[in-house]
Amino acid sequence: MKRFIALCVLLTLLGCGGKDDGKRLNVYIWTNYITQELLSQFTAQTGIRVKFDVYDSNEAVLEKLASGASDYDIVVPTDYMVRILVKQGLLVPLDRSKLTNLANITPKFRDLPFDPGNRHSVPYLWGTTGFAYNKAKVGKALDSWVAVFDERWKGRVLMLDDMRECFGVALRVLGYSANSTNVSELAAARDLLVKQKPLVKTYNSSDFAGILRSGDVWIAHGYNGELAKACDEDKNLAYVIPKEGCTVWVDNLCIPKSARHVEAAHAFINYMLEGKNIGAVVNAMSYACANDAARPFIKPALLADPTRYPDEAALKRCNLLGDLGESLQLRDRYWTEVKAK
Amino acid sequence: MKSRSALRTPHSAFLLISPTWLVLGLLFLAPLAIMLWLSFQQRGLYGGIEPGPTLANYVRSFESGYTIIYARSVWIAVATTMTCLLVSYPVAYYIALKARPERKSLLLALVVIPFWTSFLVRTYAWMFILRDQGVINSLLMSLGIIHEPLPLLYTPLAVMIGQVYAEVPFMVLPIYASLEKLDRSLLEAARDLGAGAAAAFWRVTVPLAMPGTVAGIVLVFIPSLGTFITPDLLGGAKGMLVGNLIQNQFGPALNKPFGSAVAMTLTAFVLALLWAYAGWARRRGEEVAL
Repeated sequence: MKRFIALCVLLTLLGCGGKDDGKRLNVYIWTNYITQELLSQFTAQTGIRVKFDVYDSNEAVLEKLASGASDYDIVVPTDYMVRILVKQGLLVPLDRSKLTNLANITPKFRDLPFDPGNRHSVPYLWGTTGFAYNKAKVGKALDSWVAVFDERWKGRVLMLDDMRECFGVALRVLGYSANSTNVSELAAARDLLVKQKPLVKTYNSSDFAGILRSGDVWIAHGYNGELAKACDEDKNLAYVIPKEGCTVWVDNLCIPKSARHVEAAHAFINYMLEGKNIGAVVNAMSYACANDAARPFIKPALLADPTRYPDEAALKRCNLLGDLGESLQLRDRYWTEVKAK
Repeated sequence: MKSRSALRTPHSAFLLISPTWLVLGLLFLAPLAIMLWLSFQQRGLYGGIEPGPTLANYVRSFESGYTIIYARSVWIAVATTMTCLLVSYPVAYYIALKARPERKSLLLALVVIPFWTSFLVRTYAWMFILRDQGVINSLLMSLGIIHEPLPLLYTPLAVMIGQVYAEVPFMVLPIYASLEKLDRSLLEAARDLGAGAAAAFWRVTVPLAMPGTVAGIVLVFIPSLGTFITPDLLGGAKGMLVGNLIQNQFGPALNKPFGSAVAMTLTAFVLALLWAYAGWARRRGEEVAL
């Protein structure tokens, strides 16, 4: 009898755990992109319990949503992926009446070309993909992408293991658009990357800042947030937005078509649009946010740091990566040739 | 006795084996069938599938740009297998034939202990050992043997070290199992009939341990051929192997049909090798251990 009661209690508990009262939210977000503290506060404030999974590539989001088997209510894709997800009909239009904090978004980050009118996405964090270098080892100031192709730094260069970003660098050095789909321009970029390969110590997208700090490389291509943290810790390091320009990217909060907690997802987006909350993410993660109301909550040192918040002149040189469409296949072929050499 | 004979009827035998078939069918055969089907479809623009059927993915998989990658993968797999064999044979031989019986389980446990830690963690450990400021370079520099750190990490050598380290237990255990079963009286007979130690080893021990040796070779060669984490982490993602090629097609390249075709080609290649080996062994009149 005792056992029977225990079983009943257990089943009831299980039943409670499985009950879906709409007060739940499943978030799929980049690694190191939100703090547990913030999620707990959200739960305390709204009663919505949050579960989150992390990913390390936009393609993982596409794959999960396209498979139709995902259970996510919030995803955080980068600009070009928002465009693809919208084209594929995998996102729901946002209900602006529920997003009372929309006015907080910095005007220049509204209505970006990948999602006109912010119909499906709200900017979360943004940054640039430049390079950082060790001033003491290199011995001079660097301001150009030419540095990552310079024979003098042979075996001391780290490049992101990322087809789009590496082609972007090579295309820019050659004076072409990073979004070029021109066959001869891409072939020239491939040849440059093949020539660069003996100089590259490693292609790495996950630990570029750590490897730079360890001294194994002197110049590291990478995202500004992690590199900014490395620069804070080691005064010999400096981050550069090269004179040829670089990628600026924006990660965005979106709601997948398959979301089952659309109401809760809107509440979450609105919560993250509050200056205090997104400001806390900036303080913790070192990336910039596109939110004017957050400025009073962000540490002044971060706001004043040109690595995190580049000035207008530097930003003018940067541009968003576009959707490559069919041309992606040619880049993949060329990238495979670079990596196979 | 009754229950035992009941188990022998075909009906119960089928019941007993059904979990195996269920697992194999759901987790191995079904995915393989999906991959085979995928490999004849066309790629959609954003990672989707357009109905085929087409052979284009297979034609493309034999282009010269890709054959370099296969050649490098086979080379790495062969080199890993040979190195593992050279390292493992003496270890297995010692544990099976030379070690004191009460020591054997301890020695075998030492071979298996690395499996208690995740493969990824062990690979990261190698990164700390091999890097410029790592254990080896710091040691050599503090001893004054070298003045500049040796480039160890992010080289083909690092890939080989990582691969061999990961695969060695898969070679030691089957060879040990074969040697352990070896009938010692055959060795004594060989010596009685005038064979020296070397002759007895080559003409009695090695042939009798062949099933385990071949099993070890197969167990090491196949995973080595498809490896993709080691070349990324220890090789610095500089020498693309077929595992990386397939992974990229399912990831950033958004081309599952081509990725599937390469994977099927790899599978066919491995099957052809095993089949060739089985034929060769049968002609020699050996028992086929596969």
